[in-house]
Amino acid sequence: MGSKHDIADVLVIGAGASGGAFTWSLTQAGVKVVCLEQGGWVPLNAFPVSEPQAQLHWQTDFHPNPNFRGLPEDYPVNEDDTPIAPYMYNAVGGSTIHWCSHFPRFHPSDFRLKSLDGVADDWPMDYFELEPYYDQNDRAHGVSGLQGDTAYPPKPARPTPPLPIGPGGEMLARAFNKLGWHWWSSDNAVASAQYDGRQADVGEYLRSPSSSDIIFWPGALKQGARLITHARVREILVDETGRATGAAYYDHNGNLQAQYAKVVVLACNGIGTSRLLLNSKSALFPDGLANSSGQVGRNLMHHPCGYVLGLFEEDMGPDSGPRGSSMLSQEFYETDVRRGFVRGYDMQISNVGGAPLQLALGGLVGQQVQWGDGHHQDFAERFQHQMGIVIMTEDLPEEHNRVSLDPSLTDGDGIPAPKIDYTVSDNTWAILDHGIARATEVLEAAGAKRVISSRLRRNAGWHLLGTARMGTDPARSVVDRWGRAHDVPNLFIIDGSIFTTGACINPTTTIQALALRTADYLKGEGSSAIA
Amino acid sequence: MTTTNNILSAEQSALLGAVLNCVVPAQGEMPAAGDIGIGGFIEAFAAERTARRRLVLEGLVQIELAAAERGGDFSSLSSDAQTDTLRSVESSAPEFFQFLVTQTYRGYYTHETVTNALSYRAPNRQDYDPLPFDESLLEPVRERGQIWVPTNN
Ligand SMILES: Cc1cc2nc3c(=O)[nH]c(=O)nc-3n(C[C@H](O)[C@H](O)[C@H](O)COP(=O)(O)OP(=O)(O)OC[C@H]3O[C@@H](n4cnc5c(N)ncnc54)[C@H](O)[C@@H]3O)c2cc1C
Repeated sequence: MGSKHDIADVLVIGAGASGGAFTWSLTQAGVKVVCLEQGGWVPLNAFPVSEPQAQLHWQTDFHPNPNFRGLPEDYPVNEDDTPIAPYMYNAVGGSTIHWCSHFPRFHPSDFRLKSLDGVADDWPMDYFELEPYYDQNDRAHGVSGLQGDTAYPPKPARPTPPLPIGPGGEMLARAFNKLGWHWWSSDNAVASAQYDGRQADVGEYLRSPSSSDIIFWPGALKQGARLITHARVREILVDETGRATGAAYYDHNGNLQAQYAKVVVLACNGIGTSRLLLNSKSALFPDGLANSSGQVGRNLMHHPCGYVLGLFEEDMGPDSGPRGSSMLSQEFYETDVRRGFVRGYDMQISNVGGAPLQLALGGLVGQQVQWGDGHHQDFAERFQHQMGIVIMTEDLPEEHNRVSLDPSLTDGDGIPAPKIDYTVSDNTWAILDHGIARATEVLEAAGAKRVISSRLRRNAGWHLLGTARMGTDPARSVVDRWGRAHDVPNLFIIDGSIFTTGACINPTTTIQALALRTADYLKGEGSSAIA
Repeated sequence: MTTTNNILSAEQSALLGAVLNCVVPAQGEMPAAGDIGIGGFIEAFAAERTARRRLVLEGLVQIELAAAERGGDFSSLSSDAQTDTLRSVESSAPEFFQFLVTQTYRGYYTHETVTNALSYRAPNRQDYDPLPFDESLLEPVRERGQIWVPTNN
């Protein structure tokens, strides 16, 4: 076991998107931070796409679903009772090792669902409070994009130019204009030009070059952070007064160790954090830590996704450039009750799935190219002739959508593993159907000769949110406006678990902006916690 | 227990090759899957796990039985009868058949002969020469103006 004399100012658990950003910011002020991460480092060039077999890694040891990947650092997730498979990566960099770098911000309305739409809850903070942290995060990543998007309050000039939209994107842009619908160049966390000593991303590797192990960890380590890899936390330790004292973890040899700290910060994502809290039972906290409200693990939100693929006569050009979203439409983002649902969806046009194998297996639309005599014709109709639109929907919080502990499943260290129970709501189904119809309309307006769609993608559990929600009422939420647990004054949560509501766009810049904001709080107003 | 990549007899390998030539037949520049050795790729993958091995071995038996119902060895059947045989196995043994097709595509579309025939080049720095973003396309969106909803906090 570790020494009680080795007390860090702050112990961060999880070195992913939020853990990296938070540690980078806190160590700038000389705060002594130790981070425990169950995975290791993944070299940038681990999976070069130039190797003919590269795409096979997606199906095996680099699969985004830990249940398929099954690496020693992964933990299994029981996904029998959910139509959406949970995706994540366990390593320094966390799930951003795998991400597509799409970097949209929330809208101001996303923080005010109760006031505007009479559903869910308002956040105990607003867009404009988060805005400086969005800006800080944009600068750290060298975000590519274009200033002036009319779907947002003004943002500063984007640090690097927009990603190209290609010939297919131009056809879609004209179609959006014909229909009079909003579209814009997407913000992406990939630098499209040389930035801060990093080369422009051109999509050479399967893994992302803008993950937190690249953007934040080198700086954090230089500033004195101590990162312990292959350290899997079993539980948070507490004293007799109910304060967190540190964490018990299994080291790379499987030996149980302890790390003590004045403040404990959880950054294990929307599944890992609630799993850890539920596993941290004690006499004082018999239902799991920070769970007097019974809300830990509840209100799991994803962004259920539909996908619509248009097939065109025209050649859309080669599979090239970084993975990411080149353009988006937020025409149907805000509530319009005449549509028959509340909130809405984002249409994302992405540069993914152009490699032959992904395409043959059906890519995001999930419909394989046919076998037999028609095989080559079906393949040729799609290869370099397709444009796809992701319908990313808002998922309102519902208590019965939850992470709990599986009664028998465990990870390699014998720690109980999580189970997901999740259903898609009627509101979300209505949003999906509307989105698929509108995406079909715009693809046809762009000249698609055939459109294929998938109403709900199973392999789309990229976003894990809401399972330790933020709120002012300790009876109905887990953390306060700074991410501090209502029940445990020196325990903070900074990952996607704390989202009160989830919006209908990719969450990571919001996760990181919240983490940067909590770091500033601990450096300023809340610094007594680590004094 | 020692495992080997060879789990198929010569006859079973020949059968698998013939089946794969039907799953992805030759056409123009594109080779047939069995002819470029995708059977070996599937055999090696199946050899890794007992469950997969069983799936493949039992699936091949299903194909032989379905072929016999149509008059003989799979290889000796007409192309239409072969397709018909596989369609019947697709509905009677869907798990095996899905595995077979997916593995065939995995082997086929990562095989250099195939990627070369498609002239496919993965994203790389030398070839990267994108069309510059044409901002004039956004004129109508700019003209329409703000669409975000103020919240007045
Ligand atoms: C394929 C894919 C594509 C995506 N694309 C996008 C995108 O384009 N845009 C976007 O905004 N988001 C995207 N995401 C989502 C994004 O990656 C996540 O939102 C983000 O990484 C979440 O950050 P986090 O800090 O909450 O958790 P993570 O980044 O998942 O980090 C959690 C870390 O905690 C560690 N951990 C967990 N439990 C323990 C434990 N008990 N002990 C020690 N360590 C532990 C894990 O190993 C992991 O490294 C994508 C995700 C995937 C998988």
